[in-house]
Amino acid sequence: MADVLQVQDLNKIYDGKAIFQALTNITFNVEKGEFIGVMGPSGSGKTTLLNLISTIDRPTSGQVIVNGQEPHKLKKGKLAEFRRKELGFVFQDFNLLDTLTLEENIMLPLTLERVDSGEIDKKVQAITQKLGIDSILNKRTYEVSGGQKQRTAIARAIIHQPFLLLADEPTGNLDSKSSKDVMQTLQMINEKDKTTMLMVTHDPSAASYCDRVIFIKDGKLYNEVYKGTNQKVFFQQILDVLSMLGGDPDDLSTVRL
Amino acid sequence: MTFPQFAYKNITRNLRAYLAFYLSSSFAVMIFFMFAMFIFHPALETGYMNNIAKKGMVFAEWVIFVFSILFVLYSVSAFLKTRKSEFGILTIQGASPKQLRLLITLENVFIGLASIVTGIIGGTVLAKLFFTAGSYIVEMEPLELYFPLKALGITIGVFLPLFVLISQFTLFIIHSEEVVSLLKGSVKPKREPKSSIPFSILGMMFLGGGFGLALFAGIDIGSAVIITVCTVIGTYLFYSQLSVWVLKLLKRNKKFYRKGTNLLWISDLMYRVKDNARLFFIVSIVSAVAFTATGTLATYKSMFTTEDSLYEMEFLSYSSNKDENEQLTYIQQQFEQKNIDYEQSKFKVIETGQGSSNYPVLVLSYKDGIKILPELKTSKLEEGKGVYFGQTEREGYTVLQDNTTDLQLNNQQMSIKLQSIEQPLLSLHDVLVVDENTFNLLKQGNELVTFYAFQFANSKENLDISQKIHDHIVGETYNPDARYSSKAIEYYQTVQLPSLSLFIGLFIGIIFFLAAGSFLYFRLFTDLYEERKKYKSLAKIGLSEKEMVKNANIQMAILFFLPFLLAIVETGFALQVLQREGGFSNVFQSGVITILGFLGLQLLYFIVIRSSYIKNLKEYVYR
Ligand SMILES: Nc1ncnc2c1ncn2[C@@H]1O[C@H](COP(=O)(O)OP(=O)(O)O)[C@@H](O)[C@H]1O
Ligand SMILES: [Mg+2]
Repeated sequence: MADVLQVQDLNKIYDGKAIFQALTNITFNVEKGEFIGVMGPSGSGKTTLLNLISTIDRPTSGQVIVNGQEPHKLKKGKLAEFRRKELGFVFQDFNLLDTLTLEENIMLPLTLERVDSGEIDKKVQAITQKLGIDSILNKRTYEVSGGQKQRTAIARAIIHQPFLLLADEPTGNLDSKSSKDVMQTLQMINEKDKTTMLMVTHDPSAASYCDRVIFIKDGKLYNEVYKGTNQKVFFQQILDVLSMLGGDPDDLSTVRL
Repeated sequence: MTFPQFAYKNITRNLRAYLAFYLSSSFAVMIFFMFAMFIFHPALETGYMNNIAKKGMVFAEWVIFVFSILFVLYSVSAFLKTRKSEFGILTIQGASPKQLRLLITLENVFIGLASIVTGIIGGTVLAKLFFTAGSYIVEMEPLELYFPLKALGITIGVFLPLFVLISQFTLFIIHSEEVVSLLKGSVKPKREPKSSIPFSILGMMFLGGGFGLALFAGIDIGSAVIITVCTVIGTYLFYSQLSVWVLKLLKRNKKFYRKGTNLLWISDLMYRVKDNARLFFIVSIVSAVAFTATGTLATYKSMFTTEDSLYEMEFLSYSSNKDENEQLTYIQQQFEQKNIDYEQSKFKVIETGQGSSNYPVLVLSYKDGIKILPELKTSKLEEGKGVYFGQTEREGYTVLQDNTTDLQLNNQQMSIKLQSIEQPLLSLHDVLVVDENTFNLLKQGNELVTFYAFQFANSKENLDISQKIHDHIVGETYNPDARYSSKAIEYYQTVQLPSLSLFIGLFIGIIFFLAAGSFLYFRLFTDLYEERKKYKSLAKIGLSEKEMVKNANIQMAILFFLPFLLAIVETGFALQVLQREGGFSNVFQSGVITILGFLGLQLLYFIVIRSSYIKNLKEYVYR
């Protein structure tokens, strides 16, 4: 199968008051339809990596190739269009607008694309039924639970059928029940729509839903683990790598399955 | 987030909050002080101020006062909002209510004192600047900077208690809230704005009623108050109810609502309008007051035409005047008291009317005419002919056709053939000079009056005695037996007073304008941090820079120009009333010029603020 995401020799140096090398020579490929997890201790560069792939930030050197395109070489206007069409985002803090209803939040990418209003209704209906949030569409963000918010955010992220879905700690603000819901939702989308996914997490149980987990430490690739057939075994493997990594015990306290 | 990160963030965020509160309070103090300084200016207290202008200024003073309170209250609540979670943390960490109370009271008093000092200094500097620039614009002597004891006292006396009171008010709010909700602080999302249809309709009715009354009702104190109250309530409901309702209707139009960024700005505007209803309301009312004041006072500048008399003072006494000699002595006494060398001339003249409108005219014999104007010697006057000295047009009204050759005098069979029409000689009346025979003939059917003329040097500085004499002879209103005119008074009324009025108008206008502008500014930059976060996350899901700029432009334009537009409409109605009832004939013209001027200023202000705002957004969102 073809590699739809290629990350080659990626380096990121933050030059603020102190120069800091957040990523060093990161290289990996992702196949079409693959569900990749990225793990590592806090401050290891996970969000930085995701920001580079999602074109929110620019690499100091190296390449990101998405579906044969190099988004970082696009002009500003084209870049926004690229994000809008090819990428979908799910964030730890949901990033839903309080001023909109859940339905309006979901349709936002489509209205920006100036999709016809009837078409919008159809798509919103289809996707919200799939994610089981069709009954709360007229509510606002403060009226629903964290899990519902995150599923709304997922609906917004995939309503335009993106090529690549990126998620940064999607379960970070959720309790274990909601985490499970959200992960099962992501897994279903991955399996049904064959959407390629890249998820940053430090929750091993969330990571165990992935096909493969990449570990980074201090901005460098440390290890990777493939899922076999059993999720429980995979989960144990992840825990093993994490304990080798020496992540802070805090990370392990969130263990749940 | 690590604890140091948290601490740092907390401090920087508070620094901004402190700074915003301090700056906005300073601004309120500055405006209040500048105006007080102006109102109590010695040059204005002693002058013969026009009644309307005086009342207008007192009214403006009140508006500024109320406005200052609202402004400070508003900044305190913004200040509080950003610090709520800090109070929550302090409470959890065991700060006693007493400690919290002391902390907040001290903070408020300290910031209050600091802003009073800054405001007064800033006000003095700005006032000096304005006194100089303003007097340059309206061509009058600059008002000097004086030691404004009264203004200082009032400013400190108003604001110090205000800050103390507000800190207690602050405490009240904190005490009545649970620690949990304090902790959540400003991150609690707002509920969807509600609008009620009855209140929306009521708002429309109030606005419509106010405007309708302004158009058609007779104006007295009662109806003026009703119109004002209607408009004020209507304006408030317009922003808090009607506009939300209209936006809701707009939302129902899915085709429009779901196009591009419309979804973003319409939904956001609903919150914004509701949130800022009070702000918009104040800005509208304040701007309308400013425009109306400036427009009205500007009319004085163009209302009078200067007339040039050959004499410094003129005194006309009818045969019915029993006090003629006493009045004459009084005039002479005034001169003597001030050691003024003067020359007095006395003429017996005929007062009559001319033309179909019976416009008053003094008829002089050729012999006397030469005494006044020696150049007359060169033109011999034949019997039945005359020379007319006067203006053919006066305040838009034709006194005499430019090419009139036959002048029909009141009560006369014959008409006078006009040899020429010349510039005015006297300021009391137009003058007709005729030859001796004709004069004697006219004497028969008309009243002979005595005309005294006085000439001396340095007339413009003799406003004092002129005013005294005027009061003595004419009294408060009118004396049927005598007329009096003085160049000094004329000059004051036609040049100085209008200039002063325009100056006051400009001052009030600009002060209010600054106030409204600062309100908008603080609001905008209080919201900036949340906006940046919002746009950042929208950028992640593919909002382009162009779309962000467009969206921000729409939002800012509405913030800047919606209150402005309503203020213009309200000003239009106010000027209409003034034109109809107040006897300001050309108030509309000066109103339009005023509004255009302010529109230009506002546009400039918008462009400047917009560019810095958008630059800030761009830098943060699309580095
Ligand atoms: N904008 C930035 N400027 C400077 N340093 C940064 C910036 N963003 C992140 N860093 C640093 O880079 C490192 C990696 O950060 P990040 O990618 O957020 O880690 P993670 O998401 O794995 O916790 C951290 O040490 C962080 O302090
Ligand atoms: Mg992170």
